[in-house]
Amino acid sequence: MNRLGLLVAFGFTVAATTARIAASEPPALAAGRAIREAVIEEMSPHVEWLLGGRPFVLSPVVVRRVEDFAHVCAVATHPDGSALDLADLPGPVGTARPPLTISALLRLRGGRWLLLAARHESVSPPGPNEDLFRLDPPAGLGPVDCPHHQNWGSDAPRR
Amino acid sequence: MTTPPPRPTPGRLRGTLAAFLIAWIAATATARGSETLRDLPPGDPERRRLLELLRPVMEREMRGPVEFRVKLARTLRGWGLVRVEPQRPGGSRIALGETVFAETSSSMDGLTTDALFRLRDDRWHLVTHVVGPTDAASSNWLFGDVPMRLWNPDFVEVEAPN
Repeated sequence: MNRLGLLVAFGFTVAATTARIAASEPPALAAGRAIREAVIEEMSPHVEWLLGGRPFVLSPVVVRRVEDFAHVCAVATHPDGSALDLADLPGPVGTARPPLTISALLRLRGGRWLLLAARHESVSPPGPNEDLFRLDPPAGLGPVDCPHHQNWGSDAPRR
Repeated sequence: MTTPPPRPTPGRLRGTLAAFLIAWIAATATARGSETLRDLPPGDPERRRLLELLRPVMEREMRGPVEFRVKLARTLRGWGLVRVEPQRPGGSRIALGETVFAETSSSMDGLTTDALFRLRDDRWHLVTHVVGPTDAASSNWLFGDVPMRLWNPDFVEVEAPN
């Protein structure tokens, strides 16, 4: 192998090592960066998994922060904004109630919002927040109702 | 007067190309998650990273500081799986009654915890976790492209015929 080859290999090894180090050190939450964007990014892998890898967008309905905790309620739709056909989806969301609504509790650690737990609304009560708020976040964070639940009528998930 | 640099010979070009290819494979494997199953040994930075993502929720659920006895830590194709036994720092046992599961302990099988992770843009994320499952978590978590081999390394993946 000639010198140029060794140089190229060395360069890529350095790049790979740098990427690995960067991956192990979470970047600080940049000043001014919206919490909303950060928490949605952090809960997205959970939603991607729920949807079996199908493309989606998450529209936050409620994002609340108290101290270093955040509670998010977001609706997942197709990228064009249309509703997901839940019957086509794998695993537990097949029995979810449309629109697919996911609640998540997150905590800020080392400058990064980390997912503690996420739950989706299912047809049967209890609602996801009872599960999440068992984790005892600070008073004042919730539980909160996602506004669209008000249209669900008397069989809406219990709060 | 300087001597012009030697022209690359076909042999040298092949060597350069091979080095480039090896380096490219190493770089992309790092960025996308390894294509081969990796059992993460103690001290492995990736193992530490996954455990640190699990710690905040476990501290809430166990109502106090925890350390992990790791039974399994693996990654494959951008997915990560760990199975841990949480305990108090120093190794003392955590009683179910001390945890947020005190009222539901009858439907649980100890505090062994499974957690699933996803690598996205060079960062690992906690996807889901379960404490004390009575069934194998794999039966509830295997959809999309979550690889069965994370749970069973001997599982042979067969591509569906077209």
